[in-house]
Amino acid sequence: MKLRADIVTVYRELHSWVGVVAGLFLFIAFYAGAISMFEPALESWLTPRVSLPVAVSLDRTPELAQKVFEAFPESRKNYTIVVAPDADHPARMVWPLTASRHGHGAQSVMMAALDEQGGLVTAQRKPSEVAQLIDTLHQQMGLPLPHEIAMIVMGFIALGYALALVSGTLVFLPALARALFAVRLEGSVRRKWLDLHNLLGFCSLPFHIIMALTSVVFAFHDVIFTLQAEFLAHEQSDAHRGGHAGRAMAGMPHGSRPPEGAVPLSPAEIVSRLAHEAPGFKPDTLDYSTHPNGAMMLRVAGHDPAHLMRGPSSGFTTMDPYSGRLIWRDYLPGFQPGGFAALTSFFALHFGSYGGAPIRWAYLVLGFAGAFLFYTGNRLWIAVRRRKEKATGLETDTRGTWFLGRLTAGCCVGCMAGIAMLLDTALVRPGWVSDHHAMTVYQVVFWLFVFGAFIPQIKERALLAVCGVFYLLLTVLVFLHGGRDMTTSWAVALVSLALGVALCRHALRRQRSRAA
Amino acid sequence: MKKRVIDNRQWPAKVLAGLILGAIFSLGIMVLIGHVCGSTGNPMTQSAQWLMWLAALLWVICLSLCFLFRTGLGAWLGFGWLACLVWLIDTLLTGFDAAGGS
Repeated sequence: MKLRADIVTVYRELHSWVGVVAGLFLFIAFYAGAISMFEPALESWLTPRVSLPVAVSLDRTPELAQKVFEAFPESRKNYTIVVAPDADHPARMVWPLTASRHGHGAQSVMMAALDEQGGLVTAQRKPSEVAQLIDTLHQQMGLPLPHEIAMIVMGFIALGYALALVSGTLVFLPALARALFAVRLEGSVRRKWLDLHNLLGFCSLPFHIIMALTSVVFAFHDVIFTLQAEFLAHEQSDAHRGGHAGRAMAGMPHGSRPPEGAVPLSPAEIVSRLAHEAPGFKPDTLDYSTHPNGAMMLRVAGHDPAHLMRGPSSGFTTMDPYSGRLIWRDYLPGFQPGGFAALTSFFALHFGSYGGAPIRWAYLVLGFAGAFLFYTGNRLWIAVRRRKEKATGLETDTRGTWFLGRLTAGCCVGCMAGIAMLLDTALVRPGWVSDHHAMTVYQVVFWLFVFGAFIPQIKERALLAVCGVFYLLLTVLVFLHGGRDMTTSWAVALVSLALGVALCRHALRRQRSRAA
Repeated sequence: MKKRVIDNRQWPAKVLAGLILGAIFSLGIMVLIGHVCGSTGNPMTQSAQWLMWLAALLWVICLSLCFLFRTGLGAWLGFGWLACLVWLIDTLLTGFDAAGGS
């Protein structure tokens, strides 16, 4: 494929500059995003287990609910029945103590159980904030700003990311066939970084296209929907014209007000209706809430490994709690209309919410590879500038090259070190981290590394080595302190060991290459 | 005849054209198709969600193409008349809808 030379030049320049500006943010987004693939597992792993009597059977749930309503009348408005309680979520019935944002994020809940005499026993579960914080770092690209502002900034960086993808592909296309698998690790530094960057970029292109478009949408969908409603909604009520959250709840199909004296079906009956209506869909939670019109709403969250799911770990449906009829199946995995299933695939491809654990692990690898792609991009930019500067007879780096080199090292290693230190602290001082100090721990470590990178006496290999030690420390701490779930402990230990060894090796190699 | 080449000298004007006018154009196309399909703009409906994705995709495409204009002014004029055209059609359609509905 032949492109005009001036067009290739325009897009090459564009790719360099946009890539350099967006690359550091994207490194943080991809690194934290890769780890947040296991957010629920990490959250359970870091949250102290609460001891409660064995959960009542699903058939006895109405008795439990009645006792809860008598003791805590406010729970009636919004409560959840857990279909399959486990060691990390031991209660059959829970209700929130704090408001959640669109159902995202760690939420403190009250859990209820019955003792042997049938008396009500309650306990509070305060989930660890660490896993949620890593997800927030991913969403906000590490920006310490209020969420709404950070999302808009993130949106513009995501647009830059999309632009870098388009321009990078256009520039690389002409040389695609002959240069793809030519990774020349020997020879010039510039060529090594270029070949690695091209190979990584091309092989993960579909993944990056999905990520770029979905992140633009995640940032701007509220604004676009508001404008859409403004120009297209002629016959809608005011509820549909409000903020997105208000519209989403109001727009969600719900049952009408039941006749006086109607009794809702028991959770056991709901589950059996659901098994009949939607075989294959495994309900996880039955979320009961009250619509502004007074009608009781029932949203069921569940999973089906055989299908794509709309949320990061579940699909949804709403039911009439009185008749058990499925009211809305647009987000129900396996039962979605074709168009909605196609839309769901965009979300699922971003979240990796299909195919179960193997896909999550694959996304972890792709996420780390994505972060590395941006790192190689910046190193390449530095190597190219150095070569040009040397050609003009300069002995040392210009200020721009030096600045970007230091910033790249500081941001990338700082982000990795911040997350490692966060997990280290969460294992040693779980209570302290949960009291809103999690963000402070991350930001302090991150900025120490960024500032450290600009101190001339501190070499990049020292930053890499310290970060590597943080990860090796995490491996040790997992065996000393972690242990609520052996599978997660082993997974964290192995991943942190691999990262720690890789970072320390890289630090040593840089030292040797300098010495040579 | 000498072929005119493009370069990045006026990139700020081109980027702003792609960002601002590109957004106005993309949203205009979204509203236009929404009118034609009879979408209500309720975000829980399939049509509204597809239109939202379409607008985002078009915006990205506009931003990618704005560098192909030779000058910044060219980019503003190019996207400008496209945006005006789309919104003119939208306004006319809304007018027809209102007249037909009354």
